[in-house]
Amino acid sequence: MTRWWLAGGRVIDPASGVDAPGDLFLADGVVVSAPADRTGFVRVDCTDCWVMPGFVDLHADLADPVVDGRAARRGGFTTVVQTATPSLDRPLAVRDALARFAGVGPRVRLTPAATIGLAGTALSDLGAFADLGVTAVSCGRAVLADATVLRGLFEYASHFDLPIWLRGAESAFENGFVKEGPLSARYGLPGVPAASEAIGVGRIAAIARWTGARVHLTHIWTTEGLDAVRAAQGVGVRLTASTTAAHLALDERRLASSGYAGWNRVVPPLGDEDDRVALAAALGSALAGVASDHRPLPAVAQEVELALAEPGSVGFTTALPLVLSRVREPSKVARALAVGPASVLGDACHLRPGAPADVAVVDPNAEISVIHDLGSRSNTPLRGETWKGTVRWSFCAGESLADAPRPR
Amino acid sequence: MSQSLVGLRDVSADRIVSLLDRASAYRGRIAAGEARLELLRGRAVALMFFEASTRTRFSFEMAAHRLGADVLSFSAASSSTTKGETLLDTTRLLAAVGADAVVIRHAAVGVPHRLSELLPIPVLNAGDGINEHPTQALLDLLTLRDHLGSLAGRTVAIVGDVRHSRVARSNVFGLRALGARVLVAGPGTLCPAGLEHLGAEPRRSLDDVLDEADAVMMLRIQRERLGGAILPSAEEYRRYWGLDERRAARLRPGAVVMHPAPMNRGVEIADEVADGPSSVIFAQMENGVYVRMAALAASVGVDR
Repeated sequence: MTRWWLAGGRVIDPASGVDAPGDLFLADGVVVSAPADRTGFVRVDCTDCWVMPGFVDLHADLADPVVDGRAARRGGFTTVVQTATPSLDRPLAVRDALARFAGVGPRVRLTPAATIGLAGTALSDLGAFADLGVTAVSCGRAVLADATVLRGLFEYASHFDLPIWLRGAESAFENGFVKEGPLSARYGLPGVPAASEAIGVGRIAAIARWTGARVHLTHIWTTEGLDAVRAAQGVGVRLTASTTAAHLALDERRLASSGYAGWNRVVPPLGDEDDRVALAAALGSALAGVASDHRPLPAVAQEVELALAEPGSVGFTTALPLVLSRVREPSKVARALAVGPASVLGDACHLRPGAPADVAVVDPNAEISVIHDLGSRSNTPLRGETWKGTVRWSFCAGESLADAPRPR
Repeated sequence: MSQSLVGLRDVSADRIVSLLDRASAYRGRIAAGEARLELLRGRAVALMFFEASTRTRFSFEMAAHRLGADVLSFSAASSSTTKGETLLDTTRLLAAVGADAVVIRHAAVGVPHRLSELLPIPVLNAGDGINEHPTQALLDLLTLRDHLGSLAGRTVAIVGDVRHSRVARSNVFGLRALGARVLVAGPGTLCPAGLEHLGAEPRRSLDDVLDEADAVMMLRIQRERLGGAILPSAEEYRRYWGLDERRAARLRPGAVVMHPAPMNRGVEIADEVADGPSSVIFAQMENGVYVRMAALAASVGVDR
């Protein structure tokens, strides 16, 4: 196994209170103290770069474990929570998926479908999932509307100590493309009222408070939703929350100004500038972090009428530049992309000797052309654009992308 | 130069006025006895209607015929995606077979806009979801101009289901571009917050706009909005938002009453008003053909 000497960067390790120029050494899959003899260490020039803990993604879809696993590593992600898909709802499917995701590059935390087919009506075999080593279950992108099922899920999952990943929304208000307001009025697009998220988060929080379940809310996008998250956390509900890079940083007018192009469709829709400011301000408090929300799709799924377009975009390599466009302070970037999300998973996230050698080397000032950086995945609203900030190197258990073992 | 017409949202007053002038000129020539203007002889216009339409399709078809164009007509209730191809694949066919312009109506917002960026031929929007219906607004503007002269400083009230109306949205943009004041009135479920960002002035009730308006545009109430969470009943709507004789009597002298049709007689508009002296509803329908002739000819770059 290669030993690495990450030399001359600015080491950002918020959990240890470190933000200083320095070197970092990786050997045998862990961080090690500076050795007296550096023979055998491969020197990596980290000048002008931030050396920080590898990113932890709270919501992504590695549709192809190998291709998307590589994309995750290119984006600096060393741990990825694989979201639930409808077919990931049976123990056999979960066992098979666990095998496919092993050794693909990033560490993958699989969150199987909490309900059969993600339909929100019947519980999956959560006990069998727990026996397979799963540590959380998810409702994916679906909205679980039925309070009876929510209650049952929360009570049943608590028995196996499984936290539940959910999106907070009122399903009756889901049929929109933008936030309801000036934009929906002007562009003739059905809107989603801001109350939707507040209602959804409130319902989940109330049932979680009553049942004692642990929940993680993904895709927080409105000021009203954030208020509901804070209210729940304030009364001791075991609730964490995250937003996505797109919701944190992208202008909601893109959808209409692009001629209603399907690849600009995001669910939930993008909020307005006030929402984005509120989301950025809530990072590190109400919001544990920013997820990539990576979702590769074939062109045919989006080159259709907007109403029929599948929402979503690839997001691993654009997550960092999107976060950097809103958060410039390096320790805050590390908290948003690594330390905060790791705390949701209960993982330690620091760079002290003995820690797993999961590291991202970030060049915050490099300009990247998004199209060039996508590889074979191209469904993103940012195609053709230039953004600032890229991951130069990423190490997972001390393996760099180039020398990572091939998946079995 | 060819140019699409996907909406009036970002269209200049100059372009609108030039389309209205052209429509008036065509109307004059036809009134003078020319049955066909032959301006688009040898050209082909494709009509693609992905949503049921009778009057708009007839109107466009007649407009194309009057210009001497060949018409390719296509109606489908369903989307192309049910056949596994993209919207672009389907419409590329049109350019491939030699159409010079495409007129499209679609239930999904934004389809004409998307196509106008992808196709090498001009695209005319014949209505996309709740977004825009620019030729309807143009025919309304022409009718208003015929009756009121210049629209600058005039006040036009739009009453009813503004939220779901592509007619209302296109009219607000067109009227504002020409300097008119626009009042909107309707129940809260049909007049959402945010209309003031379009330059329209929201009013609480129909009774609040009658004294000020030079024209009142009554919108159709869709039957499916009744009896649910949006409107209680037709009777209730008629009582508070219907234009009856008593209310019409309060209009200023010379004010006109409009409706994009089809009308729900006895709901949003009473028979006596629809057929009364201030109604210009049938003039609107006739102007539709001239405006669509103008839009078609201008879109393919015919100068006259």
